[in-house]
Amino acid sequence: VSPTYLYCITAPGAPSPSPSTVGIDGTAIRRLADAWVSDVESRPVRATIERIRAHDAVVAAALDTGSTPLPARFGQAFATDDECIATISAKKSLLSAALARVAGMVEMTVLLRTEAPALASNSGTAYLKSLARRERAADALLRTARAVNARLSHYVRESTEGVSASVATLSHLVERDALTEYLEGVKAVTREMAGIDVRVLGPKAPYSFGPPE
Amino acid sequence: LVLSDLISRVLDKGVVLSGDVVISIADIDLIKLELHLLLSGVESAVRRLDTPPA
Repeated sequence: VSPTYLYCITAPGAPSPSPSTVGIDGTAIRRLADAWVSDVESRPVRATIERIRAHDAVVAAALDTGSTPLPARFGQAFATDDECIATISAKKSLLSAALARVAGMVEMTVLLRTEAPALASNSGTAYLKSLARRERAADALLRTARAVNARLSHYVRESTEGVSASVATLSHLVERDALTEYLEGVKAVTREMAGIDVRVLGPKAPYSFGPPE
Repeated sequence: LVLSDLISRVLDKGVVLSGDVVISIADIDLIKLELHLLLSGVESAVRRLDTPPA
């Protein structure tokens, strides 16, 4: 028996995958209870770029049916179909609540990127000063990210933010029907930001808005 | 940046159902990418492995 690899969980009554949908290593996607799965050769499934892309493409195909799925994290393969079904059933109420939370929604991502100040290595003092400059730059980016979130709150149901030294990632849960207004809102907010490179990604399935682990 | 976002999203977000998720990064191609993003994904995978399933 081949292991069963999980891509996403769909709402009850959501459309089934089209027969041409392919997953990891070209495997055929099928529906198992309310999940989209495929048979994989063995587990664990090692992460490669091709497989990560294939996983995401299946989740995107599920989103394209018009019903918003809960994406599974990469790498979850079960010994059998029955084990997969049992694991999903055990978390049914958590998953139902999460599906209700994202119904009619998509995830949008705003990436804000700035040039992180280089770290100096010519002396200890210079290093510490450059470290402080880098921290100030990260603080400024975080403030900008929060300001953007605040200005977009009208279009966004929920948001999360992650900030590194040079990139802020804002994840937004947005109603499918309000995408045009949201994108106009992003454009208006980010137009006036100098020195920050803005990328908008999506719509995607709500990877960042699943049930708590 | 877009590829990094894809990788960190798929490896580090989304529903976790199985207690014994194993992510093994073996591909050289993958490791050549934005290492800090990749490592944050690997770190959280290792944390999950260290935590026995509830």
